[in-house]
Amino acid sequence: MYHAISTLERLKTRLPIAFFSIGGVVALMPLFGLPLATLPPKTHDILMVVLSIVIEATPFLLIGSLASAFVRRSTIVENIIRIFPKNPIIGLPFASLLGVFLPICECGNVPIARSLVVRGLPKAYATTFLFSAPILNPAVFFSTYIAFRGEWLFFAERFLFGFLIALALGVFVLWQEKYGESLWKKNLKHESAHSHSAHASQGCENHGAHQTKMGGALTDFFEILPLLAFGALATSLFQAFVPRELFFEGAISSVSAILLMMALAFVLSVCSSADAFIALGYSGLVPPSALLAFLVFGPMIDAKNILIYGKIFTISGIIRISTVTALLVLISALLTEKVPFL
Amino acid sequence: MLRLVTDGTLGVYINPGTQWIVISGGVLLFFVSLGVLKNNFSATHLTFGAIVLLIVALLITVVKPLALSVETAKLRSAKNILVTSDDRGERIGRKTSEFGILDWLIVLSDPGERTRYANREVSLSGFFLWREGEPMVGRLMMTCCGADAQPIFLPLVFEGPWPEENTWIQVNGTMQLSEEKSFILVTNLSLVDPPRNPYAE
Repeated sequence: MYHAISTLERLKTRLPIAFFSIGGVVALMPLFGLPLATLPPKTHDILMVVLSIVIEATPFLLIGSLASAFVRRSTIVENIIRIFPKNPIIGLPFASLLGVFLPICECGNVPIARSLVVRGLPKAYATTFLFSAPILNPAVFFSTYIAFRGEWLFFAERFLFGFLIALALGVFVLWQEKYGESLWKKNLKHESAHSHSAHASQGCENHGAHQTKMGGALTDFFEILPLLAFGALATSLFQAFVPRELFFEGAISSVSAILLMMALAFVLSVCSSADAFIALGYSGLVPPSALLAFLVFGPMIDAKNILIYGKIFTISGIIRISTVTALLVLISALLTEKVPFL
Repeated sequence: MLRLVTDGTLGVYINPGTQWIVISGGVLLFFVSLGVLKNNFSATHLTFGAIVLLIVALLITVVKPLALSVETAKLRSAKNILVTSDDRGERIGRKTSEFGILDWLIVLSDPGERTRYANREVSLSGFFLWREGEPMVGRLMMTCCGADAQPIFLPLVFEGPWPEENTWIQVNGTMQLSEEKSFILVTNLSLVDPPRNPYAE
């Protein structure tokens, strides 16, 4: 049957060519001796910081998206269920370390966690995996190492507290279930069936079985890139206008700095494979404990994730888990200040 | 990206040690995009994320890349950062006229070693600024990218006229040490163009 392509549709498919053609011409301008724009110093500095964060973080975002797309479209999930230990004493730590072998971005792991539960995995295990995988994965190891080179203790703290807090959240779910309180939705099979049919509107969901792994990775990449750019802009503006003296010489307490960075992590919603570069922008302004809170809290609970968690948790469940996570992150961050060897 | 690499200005944004990651990522994105376009060209459409990437690319291309200004350097500095290094040994035996600001701060940070550098020759460049009423020559020290660049300074003592702030200068003189601080006694100060790599090496 003949399907008339509207002018709008035709325009949409030709727009990429038009934009890239224009972009290519502009990129060649310097070769013809055309001058580059010189901006006022303050404006230039704000822009320069934004661009440097985006340039540095984009490869890590791409790596995370590619790895995530590959895992989602393979048979790894089925294999995992088979080998999962039944005993929670072994099962929960196993779930917490699973992200090392399943490098999935923080929005991509919700469908995986849901698949695990629908196929019979205990919800406590799936919860632990859900909150540890965004931190304990190779792309995040790599980006954190690059951003904080030489800071081995800080590097270790991020992953240690990510591991422990995810473990604690699994224990929390077990404890709640013991008293008849389920934080997970009851009709997960129904939700799972629906999510494969229509185009997803949230986060990094599959956009249809016809998409290749590469196509899926690029879809995720381009969905998250604006958030990275927004986070970079917020960082740059913060650096440019918030007085440094506010954070030094006792003007603001550690607890306030930690809570401020946790709030920032929630709002900015940057992907965990790139958030280390955002955090780096605050390294001269806030204490390391606050940076750690940003890097542990953000991958677990942020504005983007909260929306996606609505697919698997009840509203009460989201509130309780978010509160427990926030408290545990705050305590962990304060511990790094008070305990000498941390 | 291609332009930044070929004219060497990528270093204004990214530490040279991590540029290979950025370049590899750019190449990877290019080939992944080609692969997707080849498979499904007719369904390709412009998303908000793609527009963001395009805007970033255009900004990188059309805006002249310069190091952060003195105003930002001052805003980022409550006090001169503490610089220590396990690589002090690699500076022993090198001519002090080859030292940059970072090298000087490292060798002078060791109380047991600093006296050895009194009256030694100084020849370095940086941007000029006034900090708490004191004239200084400074550079930004970048670990990863422009977002984390922190300023480092050395005080100057000079009888001639001072240049404008944010001007790049070449300083020649000798390092003087007192109990409280170190400073450069300047014998010659001249204006220079900003270097290709404006950060402390």
